[in-house]
Amino acid sequence: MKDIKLIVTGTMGAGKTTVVSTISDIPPIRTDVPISSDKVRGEKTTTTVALDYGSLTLDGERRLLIFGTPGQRRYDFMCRILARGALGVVILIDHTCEDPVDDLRYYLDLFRDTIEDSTAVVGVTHTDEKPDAPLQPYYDLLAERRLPLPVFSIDARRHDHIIMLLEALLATTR
Amino acid sequence: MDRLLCCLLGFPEKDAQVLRSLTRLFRPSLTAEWAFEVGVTEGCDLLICDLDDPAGRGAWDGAAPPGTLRAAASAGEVEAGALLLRKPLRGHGASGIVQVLNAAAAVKRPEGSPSPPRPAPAVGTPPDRAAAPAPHEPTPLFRPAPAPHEPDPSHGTAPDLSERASEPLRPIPLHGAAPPLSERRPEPDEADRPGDAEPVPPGRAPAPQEPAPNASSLLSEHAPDPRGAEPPSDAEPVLSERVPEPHEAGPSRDAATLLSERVPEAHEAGPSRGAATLLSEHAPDPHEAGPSRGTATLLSERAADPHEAEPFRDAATHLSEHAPAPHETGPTQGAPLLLSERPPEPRETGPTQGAEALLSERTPEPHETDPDQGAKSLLSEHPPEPRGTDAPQSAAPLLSERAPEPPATDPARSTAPASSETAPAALDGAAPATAEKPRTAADADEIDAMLAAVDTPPEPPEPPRPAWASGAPPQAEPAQDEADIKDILRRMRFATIGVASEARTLLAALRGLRASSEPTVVEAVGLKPICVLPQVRAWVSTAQAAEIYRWLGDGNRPVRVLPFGSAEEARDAAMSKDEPVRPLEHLVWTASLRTPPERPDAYDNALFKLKRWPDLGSLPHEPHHMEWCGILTRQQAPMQALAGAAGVTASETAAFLEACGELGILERAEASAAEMAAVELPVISKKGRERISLFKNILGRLRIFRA
Repeated sequence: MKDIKLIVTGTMGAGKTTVVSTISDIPPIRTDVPISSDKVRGEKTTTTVALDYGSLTLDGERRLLIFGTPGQRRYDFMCRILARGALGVVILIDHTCEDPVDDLRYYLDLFRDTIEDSTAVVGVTHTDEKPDAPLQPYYDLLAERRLPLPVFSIDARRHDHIIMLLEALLATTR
Repeated sequence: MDRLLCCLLGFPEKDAQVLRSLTRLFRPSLTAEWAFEVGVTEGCDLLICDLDDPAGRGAWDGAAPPGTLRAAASAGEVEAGALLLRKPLRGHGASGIVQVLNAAAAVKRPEGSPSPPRPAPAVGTPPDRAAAPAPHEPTPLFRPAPAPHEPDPSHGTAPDLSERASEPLRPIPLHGAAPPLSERRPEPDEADRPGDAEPVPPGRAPAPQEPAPNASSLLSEHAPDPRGAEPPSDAEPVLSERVPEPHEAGPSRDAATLLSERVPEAHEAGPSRGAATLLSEHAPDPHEAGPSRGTATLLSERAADPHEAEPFRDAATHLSEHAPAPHETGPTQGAPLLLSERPPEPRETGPTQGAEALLSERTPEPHETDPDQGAKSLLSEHPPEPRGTDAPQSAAPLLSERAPEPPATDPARSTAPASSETAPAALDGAAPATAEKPRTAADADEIDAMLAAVDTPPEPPEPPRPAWASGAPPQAEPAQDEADIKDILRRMRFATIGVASEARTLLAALRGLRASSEPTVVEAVGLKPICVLPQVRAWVSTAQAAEIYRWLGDGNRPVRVLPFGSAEEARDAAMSKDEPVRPLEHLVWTASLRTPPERPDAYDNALFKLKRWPDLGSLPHEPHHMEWCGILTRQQAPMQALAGAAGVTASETAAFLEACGELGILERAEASAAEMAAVELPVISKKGRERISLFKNILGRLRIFRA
């Protein structure tokens, strides 16, 4: 069976595990452990130490493998391995982070080869918690990098928003 | 019952006819039988002078005939003493015909003689409400009469009296055929009547067996007793009780004065009560005396009660409500039908009064029209006669429910419309314009048509066809009345509200607010109010963008724009004080997508490209919009190519481009036709096509899996 990879990456607490769970048609494998550091972000009490794994059977011959990368940067080496030959990259940015634009910049650099080879979409989460902050900085960054990637404000818990991200990947595939 | 003669002086012929008819109608309430003659004749018991006529005024100012009781009739305020007949003529009331005639009859009745027994009421009728008058002193209730030796100036003062006396008029008998005047028994006390008037002491409370020297008590005694019993001995006169001023005589005070002074009790006879007063005071009981009520009042107060004598209704009203029951008595037919029972007089016309004149209580006499007969049967008994016998003819229109006819020159026809329109005219004494005209076959045909209308009432007009039944698309129009009411209420509440205006579309309203700095509420039918804050480029509403998108999808309708001077008041007016603000560009995008450009041809000769993706996560969009964004963010493309790639119309494609232009993300480059034709959409590699296929597969699985 031929497998196709889809990468879901982004900052810690952006909703990556939730997206994997939404797409996967099997119970995803999660490698979350309680957060031991004093820095607790919101209500998040666990963090992914390896990766999240889910799959979606497309037909008898093909299967979509969904990988959720760890948010902590010390696991970046895994991301480059995972992203090789991926169908696309879903970058989730927590809008309430201290510097979400920098986070976006980081992930754009981390998955640059995959993005150039395939495509990517940026989903900005928690925008309702920071309504006064526009998405323009993200647009500016992408314009600077000459990356015509879609940037959507989404709710990772909503199924239709996940579908919309995949539709955007489809629309940007060349 | 005593038979008395009443002479009318100065009365127009029409008023005289009305007087005769009302007397006949209220016969059960009268204590004597009255015959009427125009002009002063021998043996006159009561002389009624119309003060509104010069002849009548002259007779009034002069000396009264010896032994003759005098009363005045006038439409205005006159100092006429106790016996005053108020015009327009009415049956009951302080200055009504019944009161005046009964008072006069009381004066004429010999002192100490018991009250004449009243005829037993017919079966099924309410108790006789006419109180038996008690014997009393024959105190004259008129102005001082001249000395016996003085000539009576009233004789011969009216030039037309002799003429009228020579007219073939006969007094209308109250029972059966009219007895000649010569057969009338003279009153034994005619010569003994005192000629001096005595002041009317007000406030006296006469007992039924005690003499009642003042007019107030006399009138109160003759007022119908709704309880059908003698008034209690300690009962004070209904009218005199209300007299605060000593100089006021009860009978001369009209109903309005009485009503203004006190609130009558439910059991009291309600003389001259207006309809509104009656309605406001109490619900009417069947046994109540309710004189002079308007037809509309009665109809609104109670439904037809079979056991009631229905004196308040004219025939048309009655017939329009229900068919006469067998036990129903004469009054239900109305006066014209009653008149049809007796031989018609040559110049006599039917009762000229309309509904108002018929609005009185009376106990039907047994000898009256057969209760088993309906109105139509009565009519059939009295076929139309050539001249002067228009009682049946006048009855016919009363039988129908047709609209009242205008007052015709035919005096008989003037009685036809028993409606309030003509009733006041009749009561006011408007004389028929011309003499009677001979009846023709056309008249008979008209009567037949009227009778047919009774059987076949006109069909009610069809209700307007609702919009949803017409099959046509509903016309969306602003609810102007509702909007006006809202504006009024808002102006009362908000101090900074401005002048409302209307915009053709929501997009037009938003574009008009670009240069504005005033917080504005935009509203339309079916749309939740939207508060636009131009100065911060934001909007707030309880409606979501998707709701507005759907509302616009039903048709771009006009909206009302209401500016405010305060953002807080504007948000309050839009009921969105607690709602989060959203970027105004989102609302503009939504409105633009649903508003076809005014000039779609402006997008024909150009290549377009997007600077960036719109935030479709928060903007309503269609699936092919995603595809267009993917194309236009990577390459230029003409509008026609985009429309062809998605399979939609050029107008819709232009609207998308217009919306992108509103966001400021659209780039436009003029191009020639050749340049536009050379554009190929989209440029996809082989690998890309495989991935597209995979994505479509993934999406298909996800939609099925999650559905």
